[in-house]
Amino acid sequence: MTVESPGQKDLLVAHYDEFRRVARGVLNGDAAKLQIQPTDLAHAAAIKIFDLNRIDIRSRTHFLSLSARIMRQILMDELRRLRAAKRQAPPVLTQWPGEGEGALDLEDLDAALTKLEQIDPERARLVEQRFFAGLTVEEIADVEGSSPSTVKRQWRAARAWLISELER
Amino acid sequence: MSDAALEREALALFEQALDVPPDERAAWLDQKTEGQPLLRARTAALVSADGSQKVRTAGAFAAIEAEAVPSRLGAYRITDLIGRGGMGAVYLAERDAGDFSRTVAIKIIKPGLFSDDLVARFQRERQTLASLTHPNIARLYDGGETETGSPYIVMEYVDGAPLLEWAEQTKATRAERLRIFSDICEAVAFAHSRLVVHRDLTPANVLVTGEGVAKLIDFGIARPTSDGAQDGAAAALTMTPGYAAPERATGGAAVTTSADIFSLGRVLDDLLTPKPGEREVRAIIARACADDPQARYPSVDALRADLDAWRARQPVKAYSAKAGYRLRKFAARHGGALAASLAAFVLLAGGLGATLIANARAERARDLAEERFQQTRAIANSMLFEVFDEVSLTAGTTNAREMLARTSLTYLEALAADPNAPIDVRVEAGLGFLRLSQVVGGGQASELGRYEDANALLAQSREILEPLFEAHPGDENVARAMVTLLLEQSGAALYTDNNADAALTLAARAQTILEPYRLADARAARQYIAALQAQADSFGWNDRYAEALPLHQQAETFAAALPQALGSDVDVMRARGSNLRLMGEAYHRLEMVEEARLTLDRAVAQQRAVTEAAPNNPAYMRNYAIALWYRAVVHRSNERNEAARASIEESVAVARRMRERDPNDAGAIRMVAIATEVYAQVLADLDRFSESYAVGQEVIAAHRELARRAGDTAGARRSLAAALMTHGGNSYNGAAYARACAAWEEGLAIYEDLNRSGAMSERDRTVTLTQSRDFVRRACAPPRAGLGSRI
Repeated sequence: MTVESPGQKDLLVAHYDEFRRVARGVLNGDAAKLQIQPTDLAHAAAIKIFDLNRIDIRSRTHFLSLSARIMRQILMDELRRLRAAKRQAPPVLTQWPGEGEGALDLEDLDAALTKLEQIDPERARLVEQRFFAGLTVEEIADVEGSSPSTVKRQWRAARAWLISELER
Repeated sequence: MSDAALEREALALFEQALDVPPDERAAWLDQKTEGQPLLRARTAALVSADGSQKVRTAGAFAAIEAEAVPSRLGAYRITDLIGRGGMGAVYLAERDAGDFSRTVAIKIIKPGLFSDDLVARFQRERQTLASLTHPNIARLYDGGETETGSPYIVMEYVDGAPLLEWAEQTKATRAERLRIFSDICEAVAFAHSRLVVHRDLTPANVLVTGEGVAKLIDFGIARPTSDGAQDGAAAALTMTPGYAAPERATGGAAVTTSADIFSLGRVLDDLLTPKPGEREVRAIIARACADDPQARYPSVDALRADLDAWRARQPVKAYSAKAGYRLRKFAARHGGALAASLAAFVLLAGGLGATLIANARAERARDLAEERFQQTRAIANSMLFEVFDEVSLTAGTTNAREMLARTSLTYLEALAADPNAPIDVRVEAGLGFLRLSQVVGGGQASELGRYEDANALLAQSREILEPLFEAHPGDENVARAMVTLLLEQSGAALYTDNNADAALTLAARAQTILEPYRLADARAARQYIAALQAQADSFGWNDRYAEALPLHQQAETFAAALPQALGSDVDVMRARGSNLRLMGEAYHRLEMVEEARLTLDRAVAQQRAVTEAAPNNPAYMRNYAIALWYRAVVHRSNERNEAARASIEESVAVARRMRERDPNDAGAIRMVAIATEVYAQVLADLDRFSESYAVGQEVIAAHRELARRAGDTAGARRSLAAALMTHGGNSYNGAAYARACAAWEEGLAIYEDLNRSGAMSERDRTVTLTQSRDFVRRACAPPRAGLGSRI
């Protein structure tokens, strides 16, 4: 794994509120259910913080990879907040990155992911990077210094594990 | 092996298994896991999960599958995403059916964006559109519906830049721009000759290729409307503000070729940006863009002819006045009798004549400028205030509101564009943007919820008001408009941006500016209370109630000392009551129980006085009911059950009166549901179970009514089911097991039904549904105390 530059981490902390605002904006509304793609959130927040297109690809990937964890935390915090505020808060659905079908409850996914963290932190992080930062297999391979085929394999394993956990 | 170790092992084995051919996996796995049945089972579960195509879902199939990118459509293989927008997505695709190959663009439209009418029209017109073969029109090849019901169209792929981008990038000369525009006109004229109207001509819908060929895209394809839009509203929504002819804003009128001529005029204006001195070309644009369709060029060719005349006559411009002079002389000599035939002659004279007419129109237009300005002002104000309020009162008018907002924006921009406008007009424009921001984003009344747009509009308002305030700090109107803006920005900072520090600063500045005027009138007094309350709320937002409290107290002290005339204004009273309620909340959170009780009593008294001063206003009644409800909730959390009962009974009574006043007001029914739900619980707390049951019936009835009105949507039925489960719980605690089971069984049936139709979240399915089944199984066959004495 590459070393996190302190500058970027500070940047994330400094813009925590921006992430929170984006997350809250998306969760606002009075629907029977909400359909969101956390990936879009991470990108929206990142674009607001600085022009993503203007920084080089490597830094961009790295930034998004770092933001995955924060994005997940904020999103789940906001969801809990939403639940606390509304007795009948709608379920929040999402779908597997890169797959056009099926929907899953974001909170269930988060709970399953927390379990996976206990078992295999590396694969759990991979899921975060794909789900909450929208990185592709190739980008993750690059940022983690491994090969795309390894990442792809690990992703399939993590996905299968999460599905079996969710269907339990 | 520990559980975690087993899981890790299974994950590792699964990854290895991926290299084993699928039909050999079982044997391979047997061999690898010999003597470890648990490991085998877990690994096999992962293999099977890997193969499962669909995760158990939460009933959003349609919405999600619409987003899915198909790998192919008919004879086309999708190769890339070109762009994605609110309307859908555009893909790059190759035809690979074998007969011939071709690169195309496929636009897939999100289902539900087109009303049924528009889909029908689109299908009728597809044939005509497909026959539009012109070098400057992107061909429409095909269209249809995807498997999931999204309409799509297959178009010629144009590798080019939008018109204005092209002009800027290539630094096109005026002659080149005119040539491109002439080509665009030719294409539109060609379409018109085949009775096809573009409907949405904008610079973005004209692409210019690298070879300098203009291509019109999206011919005859209306932009999206939301489902359920009425026809008039739908027509109006298909327009792009700034390019759409004004008659389209009013809806109703059929879209004619004249609307395209208007848009062409606007495009020409963007493309040439004529200087004030270029009167002829400005006159041509003015005629194309005349408000009255009858006054526009009768055809695209007429517009083009005039342009050609202008181009050709540039070097000999001086002669046109002479020619006009000669014509007028001729007319004068032959008297009025000639007027009719002269008019005909002028029209037939083509370029020259039309230019003269257009010039005359332009001069008259200048005379009319002031009048039009006033009209714009009136329209903007009526759109933003009267019409919007009117529309807001009707449920389900989000689309209409969106349209109003968009149209208002164009008017406001016209108002704001003039820096020499008088102060009061600029104040009005500033407040207009502010109002528009409430419409699209903030505001209790708004359902549009576009917070970013709202913030941008607030910034626009500030751009007008801040310099104005700097230049005229002593102008009361300006200062007070500034206060209104700051309060709105403070609210947006806190509730939308979650930025309590900014909210505090903004509200404090509002208070400072308002200081000299705080007793000027009731509105000022109300805003002064609001400025203090907003500062307090900025602290309360982050649970800093100790810092919030003194500000709430300051607001209350100010309100209490107001002269009678101001203090008895209902809106001031209402603001005071709302501050008191929040002050009570602060005390409650600081566990200052007695102070909380007294303050909430005063909040209630204040809101009651408001309803007495202005009876039958639903907003005031609601405030009163909420104050009573909140007091009851606080009493209940302090286990003052009798006091809670008294307060919630009054709240329920107010809510019922609201419902009687207007049985159609969904807000009133919701208030009944909210208040009665707490009432039923309070009665159950007091062991008054039979009364609790009766109130519970009312809770259920309110939810049934809400579900019925909402068209039995999944969300509303879920609320009903949840209320039934709570109701059953109250009965159960009162040992009325048959009643409990009746409610639970109905609630469960709804949950099961939602589950069958896929409209249930994973969480509801695993937790709520399981628990409901458990209740019914353990306590209902036959009804009994199967769950202990109290749940």
